[in-house]
Amino acid sequence: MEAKVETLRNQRRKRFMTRGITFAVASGICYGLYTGFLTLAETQGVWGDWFAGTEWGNGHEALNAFTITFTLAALAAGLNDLFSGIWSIAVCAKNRQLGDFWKTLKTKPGRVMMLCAIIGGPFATICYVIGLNSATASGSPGVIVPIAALNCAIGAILGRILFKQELKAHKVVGIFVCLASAAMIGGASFATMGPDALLGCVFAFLAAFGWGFEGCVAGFGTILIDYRIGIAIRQVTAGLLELLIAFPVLAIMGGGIGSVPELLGAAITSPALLIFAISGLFAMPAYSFWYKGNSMCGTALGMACNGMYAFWGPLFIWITLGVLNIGGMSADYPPLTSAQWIGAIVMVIGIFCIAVNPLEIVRKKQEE
Amino acid sequence: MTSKLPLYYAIMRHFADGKPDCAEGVMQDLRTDYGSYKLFTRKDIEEALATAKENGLLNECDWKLDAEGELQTFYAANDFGKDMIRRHIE
Repeated sequence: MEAKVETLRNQRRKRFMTRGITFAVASGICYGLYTGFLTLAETQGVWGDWFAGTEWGNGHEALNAFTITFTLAALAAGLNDLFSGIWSIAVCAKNRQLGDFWKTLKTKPGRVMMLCAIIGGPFATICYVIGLNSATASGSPGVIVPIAALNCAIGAILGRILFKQELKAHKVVGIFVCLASAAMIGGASFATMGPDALLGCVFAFLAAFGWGFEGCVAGFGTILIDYRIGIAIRQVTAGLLELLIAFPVLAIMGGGIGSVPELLGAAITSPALLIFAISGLFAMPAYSFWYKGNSMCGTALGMACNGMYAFWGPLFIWITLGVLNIGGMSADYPPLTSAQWIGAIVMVIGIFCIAVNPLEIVRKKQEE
Repeated sequence: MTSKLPLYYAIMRHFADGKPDCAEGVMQDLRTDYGSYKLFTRKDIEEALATAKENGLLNECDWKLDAEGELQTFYAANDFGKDMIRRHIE
């Protein structure tokens, strides 16, 4: 009886851990897909003219540098997040959770979730898109993804400080291995780095900080809120703030009040909108599995698995824009280098170090 | 009760008094109010409890085998958990 209970407990613990890691890894893959489709969307229709700095629509003047860098980032982030918010609400509706969604909004944990959305949405996502766009302009969209992946280290450290989550030596080593491999994946692109890429890296780092904070606070919040409701609150709040506040403010700063309806109108009537709907579809599990994975296996491990998007991001950018040649600019998106593939393997080793203590495995082997 | 708490809040509040219980116990207590919820299943509730344990709100305190030979895990809120529940849900 005792032995049977012990066996069942071990099985259950293993199953739970495996499930948490699966969620966290899946979130990284969806993250890569969302980044790939977002990059793609910003090359299509009127977005292509905007970023090329040419006349657009019916003889509108080319956009100025401020608008291209900041306003378009807020618009793209807002469209993406609002779409993913709509998808997340659809999932809640399917699970008949809309009542709980509404009630949760009005409670304290619900408001904490909205605070996370403010930092992770308008702040971090816009920084991420600014970074992505600057790096794309300099010819190396992959370079900023690993820098944004620093959020796993920042999240683990904040988790230690704010919530006293354990951070043992092997986890710290694992985090460093992950960071080193992330640098290796992006490293190839550093060689050709121009001033645009440097600007991209600075904004990617700001995004990493915002998401690091969000990952540890929101991941913790999901113990009180179902993760499907949590993500719906997060994406709707982020999308609305980006579109209703960040975008108009930046648009007015860059081109006056008239540019608000002009840009928004052009964006929502462009066929690229459909691609934003797809990037939003992948952004939903990217964030919700991230929350879920973090709360099931701890911030450090959850965020490290999620951080594998340092590899998935460039991979899916290459597949959608390079291999599949959607957008017709395949030559601009060459295959991944061997350094990037090796970096991915090293990252898996780093994640393994965070998940299990290698010294304990050695000790167990010796006992047997 | 005029306005029910969201299901996940109700599950956590069940442990507010510090008494240990398992997923079946939670379900018995909440069935009247939440029985019609799509996510009111033993699997979903066990996962919520295991997640709360992983996050340091609940401790595992006992294990039994039920009539079908399935493992029943009993949880109780620790001081940190009781404090969180008191401050954030009520």
